[in-house]
Amino acid sequence: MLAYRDGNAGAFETLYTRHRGRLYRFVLRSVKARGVAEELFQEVWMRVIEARERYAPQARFTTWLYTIAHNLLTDHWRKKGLTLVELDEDVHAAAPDDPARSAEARQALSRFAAALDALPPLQRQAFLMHEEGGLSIAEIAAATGANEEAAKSRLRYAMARLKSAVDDG
Amino acid sequence: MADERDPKVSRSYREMGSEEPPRELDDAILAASRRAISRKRSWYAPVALAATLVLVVAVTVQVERRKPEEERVTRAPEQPKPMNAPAQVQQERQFTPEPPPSREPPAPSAKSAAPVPVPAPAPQAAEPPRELAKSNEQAAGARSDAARDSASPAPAMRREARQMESKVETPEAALERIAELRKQGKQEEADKALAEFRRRYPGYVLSDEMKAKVERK
Repeated sequence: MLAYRDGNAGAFETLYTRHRGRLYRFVLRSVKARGVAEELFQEVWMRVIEARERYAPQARFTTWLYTIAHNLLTDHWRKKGLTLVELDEDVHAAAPDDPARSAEARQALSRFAAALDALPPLQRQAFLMHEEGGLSIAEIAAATGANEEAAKSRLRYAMARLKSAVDDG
Repeated sequence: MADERDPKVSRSYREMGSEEPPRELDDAILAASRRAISRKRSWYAPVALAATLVLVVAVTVQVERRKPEEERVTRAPEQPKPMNAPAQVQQERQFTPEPPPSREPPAPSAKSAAPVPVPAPAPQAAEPPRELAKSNEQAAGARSDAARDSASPAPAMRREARQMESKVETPEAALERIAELRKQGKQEEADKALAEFRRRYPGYVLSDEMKAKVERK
């Protein structure tokens, strides 16, 4: 990021290539709707580009990147909170009764996806940051503006629920 | 990092798939990153150019302001003076390129005239004869008070020196002039000139040929 800040366009490409997939999935699984996810994903990177002059390496770039993503998601949920609740309910209700998902693997996956979707947003974020971004509890706390205890608690709750969904199979 | 991952949960999560952003989105983001850099560069170039111009103008103005001072320093030594005069040595010491708060008059010095950093606009006067230089030194000394308040006394003094130099006649030229007077029949004038010649150059030995030309027959 420092190289990009100093005018090296290739450095940004390297960063982008390294983080694009994980960040995209983090955003996509946070909002579920692909169109919204793409919009938010692009907005995250635009913020990175705009903020390059102010960038100071106080934390890992990954933590900074997910902090930007978290802030944008928070704004998004504030604006679209009601819609998200409806989507959550739809997915939650439809998944267990889908007759097409007869195979055991598909059922397990469906249960897991449903469990992930059913997580409260902050627990889901904690899980996705940990799983996709590789962030530690301290880094999750920094990215979400919470203390470490709260971040640890969210992650543990999320893991317990997802583990339960996997074990139910 | 404390890893809270559960292998079963992680595996299940991976089975959900690994979606990637569409290629068009990648291209749009990377293009935006390059545009941002080129915007930065296009902003830098004019600012750098403007800064350079300001610097050049500032330096030029500064140099122009200092020129009169330097000219005064370089012109002053053109005034002829004997090399080893004690007063000259003293004045030479006072004449350093430092900014002159005391406004000392320019000290004439053959030594300091040699390295001239800035070319003087007027042509350099030729080295005057020694006797003339001596009288000039006196004249310069007499004028020193006036010169202290004057920015450039040198041109007037140079003109005077040239006039005086032109009045000095070599012995040979004087003899030619006397011979010419004889030729023209101006015997009295020729006699006076010859007497003056013998007074100025008492040791000068005339050849027989020259004697025939300049002495009354």
